[in-house]
Amino acid sequence: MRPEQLFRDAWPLAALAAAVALLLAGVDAMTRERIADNEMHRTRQMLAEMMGLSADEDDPLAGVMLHGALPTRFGICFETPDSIRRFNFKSDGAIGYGGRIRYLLSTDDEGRISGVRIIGHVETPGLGDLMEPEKSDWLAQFTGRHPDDADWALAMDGGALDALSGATITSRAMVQGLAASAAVLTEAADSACDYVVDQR
Amino acid sequence: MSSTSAELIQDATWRRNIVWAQMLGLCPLLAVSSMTVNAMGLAIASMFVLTGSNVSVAVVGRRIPEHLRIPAFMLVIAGFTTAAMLIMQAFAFELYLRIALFVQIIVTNCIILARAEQFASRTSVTRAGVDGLATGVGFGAALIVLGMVREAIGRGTLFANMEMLFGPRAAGWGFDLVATPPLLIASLPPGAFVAAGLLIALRNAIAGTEGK
Repeated sequence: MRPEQLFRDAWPLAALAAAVALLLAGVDAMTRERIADNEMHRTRQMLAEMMGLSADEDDPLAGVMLHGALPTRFGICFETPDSIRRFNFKSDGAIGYGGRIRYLLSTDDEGRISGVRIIGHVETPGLGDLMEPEKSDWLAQFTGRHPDDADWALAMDGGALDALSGATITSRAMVQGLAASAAVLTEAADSACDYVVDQR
Repeated sequence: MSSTSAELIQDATWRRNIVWAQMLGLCPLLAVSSMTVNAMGLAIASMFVLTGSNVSVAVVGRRIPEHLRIPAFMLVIAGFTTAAMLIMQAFAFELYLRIALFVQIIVTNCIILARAEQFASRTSVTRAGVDGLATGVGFGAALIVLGMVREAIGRGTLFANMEMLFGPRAAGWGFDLVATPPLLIASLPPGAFVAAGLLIALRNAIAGTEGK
């Protein structure tokens, strides 16, 4: 095929690509805000679950945090008539087998892990995606453990943590990622309340 | 090529039904049909992509050089699939989280490329649209019927969790057929093969009595 012909043929394809791009730009503009709202709603539900807020309310944190991206590290204070409890959160990521695994982590004041939730990932369906709490209870084993503990490693590396079978890279990434995130939370501990749940 | 719209629809939904007669698109069919609501979500998304790509391909059809047709059609199909994903994330987020993978791979569904290449690129926009919609309805019907059978036998419910697709007003649409799931295996992967095989056999039995 001669170069001139190649060039002539490229125009219809380029025009089609431009039309498809225009379609997607339009759909994106129409849906972007709703998608961001949906993702925020889901994140708030996860945070509420991690704080043990009552499940009878659909979205207990709705009035507390509304739009926009969460800070990577934040504190939510839970104020009742006689106490203020603070929850330390970090939204972070680890590089798994398929790409970035995004998660939410909370620790107590001693640096012990009090909850982990997966926000998004691209791990292998049927293997790495078993880390999702809806698919297996693998993620629950981190709760209550301290990353400085001697047994904070996969069983095959001499620790006490189970690996997801067939997904060693995913499992190692989470073990290391959670430890690093928890360390950041503990080192930078402060008493700021970025969001306040007022139950008084 | 001289078939009427009615024949076109009957062909695409029954005689040449892509699942029951041609046995194509079985991967998403078997994976997603564990519940009716999942099946409906994928059915609607597939219908949207099939109709959209068929119409677009009919519009550009003869203007695309022969040797660039496959990449051009893939581009169109990928565009509509991405649009379907965005729309689902905006309006059926919970459901999207459950079947996201199978919405994404609509793009590799051989049926859609086949309809674009074999039919839509050689016919009028209207006929391409009718064919896309009818093929989508045929695929959707197969998905939904299999979804209902597997949900009823595997979970003992029907139309559960419809609010994920139709919003809060659909929360009461689901009902329990029996208290305990009759045969759990129907919702598991082996059940998909067995149920789909039985439905295909049933379809063949009915089609056989039509003298075909």
